[in-house]
Amino acid sequence: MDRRTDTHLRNGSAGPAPAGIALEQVSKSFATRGEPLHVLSDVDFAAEAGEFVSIIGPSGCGKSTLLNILAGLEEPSSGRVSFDGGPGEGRLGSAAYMPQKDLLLPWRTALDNAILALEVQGWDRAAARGRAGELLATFGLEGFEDHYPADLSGGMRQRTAFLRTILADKRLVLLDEPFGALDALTRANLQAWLLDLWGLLAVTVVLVTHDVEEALLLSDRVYVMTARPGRVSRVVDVPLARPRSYDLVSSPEFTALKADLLATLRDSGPVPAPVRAQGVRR
Amino acid sequence: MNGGWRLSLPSLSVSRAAGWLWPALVVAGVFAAWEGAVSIFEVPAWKLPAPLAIGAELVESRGLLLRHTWTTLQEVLVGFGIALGAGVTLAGLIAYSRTLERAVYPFVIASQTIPIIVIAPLLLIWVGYGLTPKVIVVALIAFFPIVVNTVDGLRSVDPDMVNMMRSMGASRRQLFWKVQAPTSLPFLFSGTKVAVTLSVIGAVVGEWVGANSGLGYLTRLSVPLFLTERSFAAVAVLSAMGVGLFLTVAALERVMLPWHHTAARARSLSRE
Repeated sequence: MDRRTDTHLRNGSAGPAPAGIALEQVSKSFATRGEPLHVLSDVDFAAEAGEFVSIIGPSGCGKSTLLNILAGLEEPSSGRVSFDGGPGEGRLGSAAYMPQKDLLLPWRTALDNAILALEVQGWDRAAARGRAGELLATFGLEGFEDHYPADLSGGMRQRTAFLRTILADKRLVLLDEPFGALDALTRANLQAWLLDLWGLLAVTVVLVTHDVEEALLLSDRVYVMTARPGRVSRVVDVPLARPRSYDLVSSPEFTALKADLLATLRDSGPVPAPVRAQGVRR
Repeated sequence: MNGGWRLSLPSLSVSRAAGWLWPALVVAGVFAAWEGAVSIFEVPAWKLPAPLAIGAELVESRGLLLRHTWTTLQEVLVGFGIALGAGVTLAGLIAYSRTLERAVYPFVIASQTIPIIVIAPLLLIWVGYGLTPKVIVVALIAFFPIVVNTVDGLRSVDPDMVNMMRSMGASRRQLFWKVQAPTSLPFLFSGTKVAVTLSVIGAVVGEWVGANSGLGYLTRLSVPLFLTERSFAAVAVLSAMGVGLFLTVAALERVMLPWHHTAARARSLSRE
């Protein structure tokens, strides 16, 4: 990444400073036909401004519900949310949310998908396209800006979704298993790429993942969650110096951290059936 | 689901030519058999005219047929236009509000259970004899598939997509125009293809009940006069009209939704 894109990114996200978010004793349950379904129980969580924090845990540990609460799409049943040092009300719209599915609109080209959030914010289409155009090379999409999503590879679709997320210019970025649907090779490439990109961005990131390596490689801190009801069973600080490179994965220090974290995950209890959103009535 | 695609995919250029050749041969074969049977069994023309005789009638009475075609086409286009406008509006309202859905949807469905053949003569009493009753019959028949398909389309948006738009701070209006409406377009086109074909039938029904021009009227008039070739010729024009309208809508869909075609192809390829 050259100095030019560096400046573009910094100028681009110069407006809003990164915001921290914290949960205090947050619980969430959904009313179902039988008894209430407890999804989260007494979760304490914090991502300081500018930090990269991961949440890892078995299926059904309520990770997605946690992200929805962070994004402001849902409110906790009990407990407190604070955003940017203040109360958490009105945080909806302050976080850029990237789900596992790329959710690209099939009728929009890669470029026009990328500017969706800018359009929602009321940007003029031409100006938004210009802004996104400057970042195409950084996101490995140069020459593909006029392609429809159906004509893009899985990795490119995900990078397009990433560009859309970053262009939203939010102070907090929430990533819900962004590489979960990709093959192992594309996944490793994108992790290395995100690691480089991360150095240039001034945002707070919360990443939900199944992948221990991914969590350790990218994060300052990892929250380990237990199966339903989701609870934070352990918080691991990642002492690896930045800037990091993907080669770190094979270092003894990294391997030791990975073994430790995997052991914790095994102790998190049996893996239950995943929570099905359709069965849950809000 | 995409059996046709799967067969024609491997060598596109060769199989595309073959794809046209076989249906053409089948059609030619059917007509040849028809022509042969009529001539061998000496079927009188008033009972069943041969294809060549019908073809001759098409050429001979082209002025007459053209005049009646124009009447029917007007009924079809105006009625279909009304159905499209009303159908899309109604679908938008139904998808927007649960209350409206409960109030309106039963009437929409009930309107399709009333036999149109019962309504058509009443329309003559209510609105008179001209173009209007036929246009109403066409609109009544055509609006249903448009409403049902568009409502399904507006509802088919991925809930995760809705969440993502909300997290971006999108308003309900933005969600509708940027996501819901474009998502529903392929559904709208499917409904429209059915509707435009039904429109032709609607016009004929309207004309059978009482008219003094139109292709439906012409078929009705020709049979008692033993002008069976003319009746068949009118039917041939009606079919051509239906096919033409269908192809026009299909072509419009390709032009307006270029992404839909590539997406469908990518899906069928990934299933291979």
